[in-house]
Amino acid sequence: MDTRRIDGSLYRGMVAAGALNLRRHVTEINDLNVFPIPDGDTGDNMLLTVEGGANAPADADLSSVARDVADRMLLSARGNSGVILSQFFDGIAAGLEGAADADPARFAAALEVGVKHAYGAVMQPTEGTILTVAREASKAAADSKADTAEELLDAFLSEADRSLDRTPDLLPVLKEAGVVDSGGAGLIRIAEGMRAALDGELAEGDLAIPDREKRADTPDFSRFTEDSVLEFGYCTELLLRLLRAKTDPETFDLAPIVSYLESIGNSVVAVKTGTVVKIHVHTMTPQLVLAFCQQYGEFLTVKIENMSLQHNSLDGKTPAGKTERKPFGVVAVACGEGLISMFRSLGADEVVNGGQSMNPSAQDFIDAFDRVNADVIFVLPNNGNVILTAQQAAQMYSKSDVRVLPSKSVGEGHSALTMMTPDTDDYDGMERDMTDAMEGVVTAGVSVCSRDAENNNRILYKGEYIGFIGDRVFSADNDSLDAARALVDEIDFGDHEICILISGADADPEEEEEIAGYIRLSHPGCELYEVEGGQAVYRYLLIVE
Amino acid sequence: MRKVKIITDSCSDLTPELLEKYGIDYAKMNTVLDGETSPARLEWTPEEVHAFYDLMRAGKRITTTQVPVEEFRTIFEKYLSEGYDIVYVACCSKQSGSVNTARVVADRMLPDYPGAAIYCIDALNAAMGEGLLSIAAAMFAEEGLSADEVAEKITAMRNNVNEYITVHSLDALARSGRLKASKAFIGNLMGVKPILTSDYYGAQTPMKKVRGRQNSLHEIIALLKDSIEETPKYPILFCHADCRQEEVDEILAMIREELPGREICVGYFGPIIGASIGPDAVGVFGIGREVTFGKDAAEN
Repeated sequence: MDTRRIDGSLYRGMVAAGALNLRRHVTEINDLNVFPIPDGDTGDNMLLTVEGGANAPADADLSSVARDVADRMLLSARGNSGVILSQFFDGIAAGLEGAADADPARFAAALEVGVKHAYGAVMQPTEGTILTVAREASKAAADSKADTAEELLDAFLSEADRSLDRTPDLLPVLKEAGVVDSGGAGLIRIAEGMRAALDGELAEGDLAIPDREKRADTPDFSRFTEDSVLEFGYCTELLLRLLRAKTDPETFDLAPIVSYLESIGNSVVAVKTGTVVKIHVHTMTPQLVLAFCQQYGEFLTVKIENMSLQHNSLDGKTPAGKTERKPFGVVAVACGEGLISMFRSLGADEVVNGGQSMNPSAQDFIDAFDRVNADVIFVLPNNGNVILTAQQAAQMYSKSDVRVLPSKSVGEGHSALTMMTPDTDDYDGMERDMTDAMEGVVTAGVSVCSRDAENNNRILYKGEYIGFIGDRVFSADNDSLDAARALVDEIDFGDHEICILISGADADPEEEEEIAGYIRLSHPGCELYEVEGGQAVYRYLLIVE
Repeated sequence: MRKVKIITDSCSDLTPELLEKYGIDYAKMNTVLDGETSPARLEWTPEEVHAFYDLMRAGKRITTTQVPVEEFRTIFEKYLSEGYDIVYVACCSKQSGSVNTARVVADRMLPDYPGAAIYCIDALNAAMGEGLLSIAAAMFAEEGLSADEVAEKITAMRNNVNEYITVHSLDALARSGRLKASKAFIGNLMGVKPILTSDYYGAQTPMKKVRGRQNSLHEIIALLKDSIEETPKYPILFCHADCRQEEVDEILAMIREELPGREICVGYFGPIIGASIGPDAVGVFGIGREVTFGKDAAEN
């Protein structure tokens, strides 16, 4: 098929197909993680980002669909690759500004604007990453002078593949790990899906509602008791198969559903793909949603969740608008009940759940900023892969002066927060003090190796325990205690006087005591503190400051 | 001219040697442990000090009471009857109500001693800061100043007393209600040590945090040096709440190195201050630059 013009509905279909294809390959992308621990995987991050965009409602106008897709991706962006991806699509939307549809040349030009925005997202662009792949592939697409969208994307893809293969030559860490760049690989999977959409290869059943978002959470039913009042309503999502017996599935118009849903709820999203309609709405009366939709078909899936239980309210704070405006506040990112309460007790007003196993999205941050409700907000991302998302959220947020402190680890975040002296209105000084406090803090950890790998000149085997400092592995052993002891030997305690041992969800209390004893014995001058962090992924974390 | 007697109270943490050297007497407050009240004496032995702080380390709560009326009456009577005018350098009114009690007692007694005077001065400091102001008062009296002149001089000097204390945790002080601090200073700070000072209004206020004990010890000495370097006339007082002898020696060496040639007196945080500041606290005190910390904040 020769597609000479891309309009709004086609573009939306392409993005949805891109998301779908990435979903099919998400494990493979996750496995390209340089560091063999399942923490904040690129595949998951990119998928959640692009799926946010794919939720945009259909519209014939290319310019407005592209903008909507980009805005949604900006909000759902997680992890560095997710943020860069969202900026790439933001640039594409900028390049398509005012276009009801676009020919291949216009679209190619928009891709190049996308590249500019993507590079602009990071302070120091690194070559050998998704940036390189996007840049080289977009240039090839433009150079191809393609007459059809198919040719354009083929040109994009064939150069993208070559570019991806070159990433290990540009980035030594990839070469050492024996992988290609995961973000670049994710971009290719999205582009492949977009290309397939041109051939009409988007299968309708594949629009299944993403459930990954919820995988780390078990709802806390105690949040809604016999005395509770329904305050937030229900997040209601469903897939509806349009039935010939009830309506004409092919020509079915979403407008009546949308206007009805808007009359009984908000955050309405309705998308029709083939003869399946996907609905998302926040409402106090989900039964009305079901009754109304059933006029047109039958349900494939239905999900109704009391939003009082949802994970953003994990720390039990009052919803937005209920708190008084404060001069300043702190938002920190942590996962694990113990770590969350540690950050709270140190003075964080809001703790965004996530960090290791699941990187939070820009939207998660924006919600937290709303809840903090302060003139100045300090953000502690506490993970190298979350800083960019926090910065993106900060940029999008105009209600407060949001300052992201680049804390790359739990240790740095802890250090910054303990040294915070809030009895001042000198926020620049405070920011300086907190940033200085991160200097020299060591964060080490013990975790299970998720695949055979090589790191720091060590061969690592799937399933063994590895001890690491930053992103370099210093010990590996089938015995977790031995791995921990060997790790302690490798840490340079230098002038540090304080050591904090944080046990994860799968830690063993007796073993933890052994480790604590070992630290006391080998570093008698150090004050040792033990914290039950309850975090996922990291069996133990060790902060030396 | 009438003789002048300097009186302070149990909060001054002056050692028996200093009390004797400067001819200072003190009114006793009381400590209460398990319902039993005992006078807070500053003449306690290292064994008594150790036993006291070990009780706190074991989690015992020791509470305190201000100077009883009877105690003031006795001590004032003693010196008035010997023909002295009295300057009472009292623990900061933010920490103890003793100064107000003293004023009431003095007003009632003075009509019986025509021509005598008692000046009750809120030291705006506690612990050895209050002690240091008492020493300054004794030095002025020694120079031959009258009681009202001494009172005027030391009233003007109150904000020149510099106090820097470091503790492992502020929880005991916060529990005692004698701390002005936000929650960022309370709770398990895991190795971060608050530095306390007596602010412009005499409130015990954490002024900063320092990571690690060693750093915090260096910090209080650096802060002291910066404040008092140019006023060598007065001694440096250093007190601690039952620290190990090695640490005490180490701190002394640090002070000597930073402020060579200065007179340094070492003592303990006495039972009253000790009961709220907690074991292992270290404080250094000197007279120097005017303290302005907290000046802009509304007094409360």
